Amino acid sequence: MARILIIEDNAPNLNLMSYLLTASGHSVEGCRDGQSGLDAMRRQRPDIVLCDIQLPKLSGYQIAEAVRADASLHALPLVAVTALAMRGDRARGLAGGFDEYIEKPIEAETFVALVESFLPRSK
Amino acid sequence: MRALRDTAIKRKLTIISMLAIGVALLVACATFLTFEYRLFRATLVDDLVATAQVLGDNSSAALAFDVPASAELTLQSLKAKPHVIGAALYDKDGRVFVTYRGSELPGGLAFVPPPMAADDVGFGGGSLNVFDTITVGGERMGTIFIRSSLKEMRERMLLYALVTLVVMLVASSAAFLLVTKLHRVIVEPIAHLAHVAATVASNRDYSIRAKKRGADELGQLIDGFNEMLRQIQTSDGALQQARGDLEMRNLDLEQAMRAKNMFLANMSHELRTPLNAIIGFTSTLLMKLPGVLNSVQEEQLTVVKTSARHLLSLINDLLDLSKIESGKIDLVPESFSCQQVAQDTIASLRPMAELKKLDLLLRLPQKEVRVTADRRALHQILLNLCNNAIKFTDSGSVTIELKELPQQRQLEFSVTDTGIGIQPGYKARLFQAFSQMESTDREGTGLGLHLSRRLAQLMGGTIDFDSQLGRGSRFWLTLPQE
Repeated sequence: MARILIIEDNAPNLNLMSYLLTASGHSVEGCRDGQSGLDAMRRQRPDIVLCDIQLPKLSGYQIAEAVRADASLHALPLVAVTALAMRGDRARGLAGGFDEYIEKPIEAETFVALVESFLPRSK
Repeated sequence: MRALRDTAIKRKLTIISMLAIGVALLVACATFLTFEYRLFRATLVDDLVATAQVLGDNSSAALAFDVPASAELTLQSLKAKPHVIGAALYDKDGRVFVTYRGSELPGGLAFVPPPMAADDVGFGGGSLNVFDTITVGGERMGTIFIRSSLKEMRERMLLYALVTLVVMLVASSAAFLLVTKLHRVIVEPIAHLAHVAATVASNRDYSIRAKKRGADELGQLIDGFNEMLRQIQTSDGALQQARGDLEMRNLDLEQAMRAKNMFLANMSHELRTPLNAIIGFTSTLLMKLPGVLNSVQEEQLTVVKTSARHLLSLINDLLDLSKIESGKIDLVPESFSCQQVAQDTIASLRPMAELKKLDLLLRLPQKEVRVTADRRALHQILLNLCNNAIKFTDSGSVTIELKELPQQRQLEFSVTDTGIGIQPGYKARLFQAFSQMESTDREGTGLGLHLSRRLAQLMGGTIDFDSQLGRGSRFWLTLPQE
C-alpha cells in the first residue's frame, strides 16, 4: 500500500486523516509544521503528500514552492487539505503549486478513495 | 465686415479710427475745394464782365464815328490780361468791326469771333465767353465779345487739390500715429484680461488676479472677472478639502473592509478546522471503523453529525451573505447545461427525500438548455429552494421543472411542493434575513432565501413564489438567457 506523508498542525485533524488512511492499510507519517514536513519529504520519499496550507514555520505555499524547485520531488503528488474554503481559495491553491485541493471538512466516507485516486498510476 | 470680425482688436481699432478720420478729412477737403472753385469762377466772371463794359464804353466813340483804328487801339489794352484769347467789336448791325488776338492763342491760328449774340456770360469749349451790348445815352452802339482762357483757373484748382492731398496725407499720418499710441488704453487691458484668463484656464491656478487700470467699463469687466475668480477659488478650495476628506475616509473604509475580509477568511478557517474533526470522527464512528455501535449510539451520533453539518451550512451562509453585503463576491459566469445542474441538485437531495418518503420529480425539456451564469450560485439557489421544499413537506412530492421563456429571453426553474404552504401575512418578510417562520419547529438558518435572492439578483435574475396555506408552494427562479 502507499506511503503517505501528512503535514498538519492541528492534532485532531492529523489524527482523523491518519486514522482513516491507516484503517485502509496505508502507511502514514505525520508532521506538525512545514519545515519538518519538507525535511521528511526529502528523507522518506513518500508516494503522496497531504498538506495543510496554514502551517507554522513554512506555509503550505512555501512547501509547494520548494517542491516545485526541487527536481527530485517533481513527480511527487502534493495535495492541499485545508479549511481555506472561501470562493477563490481553490483556484489560488491550484495556481500556487498544489496538484489537488481538498476542502475541510473532509468527507470521511469518500476521503480514502479520493486520496488513492491521486496516487501515481505506477504504484 | 466679416473679415474685420476675426482680426485683433488692435488692428480693428486702427482700421475703424482711420476710416472715420479719412472720411472726415475727405468731406472737409471736398467741401473746401468746391467752395474755392465756385468763388474763383465768380471772381473770373465779374472781372471779365467789368473789363467788357469798360472796353465797350471806351470803344463807343470809335463805333459812332466808324474809326476802326481807334477801336483797335482800345482793344490792344487787353494785352495786360494774358489769359484773354481774343476779343471782337460788332457794329449795331452785327458785323464784325475789329478783332483782337491774344497771345494765348497758339501761333498761326487766327481768332475767329462767333456770330454776334445778345448779352451773355457762359462757359464753353474750355473758355469763358462774354457778350456785352454797348449803349450810349440809351442808344445801342454795338456789341463787345471777349473770350478768356480757363487755363489759370485749372492750374489754381490743381494746385489747391495738390495742397489738399498733402494736408490729407500729413493729417492722416499724424492721426495714425496718435491712434496707434492711444489705442493701448483700450487694447492693453483687454489683452491683459485675455492673457490672465488663458493662464488660469491652463494652470488651473485660481489665485491669479487681473490688474485694474481704470474705472471704465473695462475696469468693471476686470472687477467682475476677479470676483468670479475669487468665487471659483473659494469653491475650488472647499472642493479640494472635501475631496481630501473623502479620499481619507475612503482609505479608512478600504482598510476596514480589508480587515473585515481578513477576519471573515480567518473565521471561516478557524470554524472549519474543529468541525472537520467533529464531522470526521462522527463519520468514522458511524462507518463503524472502530467497532460496532448499538442503535442508540448510532442514532445519537447521527444527530451529532446532522447538527455539525447544519452548523457548517450556517457558517457558509453567513460568510457568503457577508461577502455579498460587502460587494466582495465574485461571480464567475460560465456556459453550462441547465439539465446537468438540475440533475446534480436532485442527486444530492435524494437521500433526504427518501428519508421523508417524498417523491422527487424532475421535469426537463428534451432539448438541452444552456445558460451563462455562475454555476455554483445557481446550484446553491436550487439546493436551497429544494431543501426548503423538502423541509416543509411531510407527504406528497417536490417537483423541479425547467422551462424556457423565449419571449422574455429568460429561462425559469421552479420548485413545487405539496407542503404546509406559507401564511399570507408572512409573505412580505420571506426573503428577509433571519426570518424563518417562528411557528415552525423545523431547522434552518433563515438566511437561505435571502441569500438565494441576492445571488439571483447578482446574476440578473429574480426569485418569487406563490403559495396556498396547507396545499403547497411554488418558488421560481428566472435567469436571463444569452
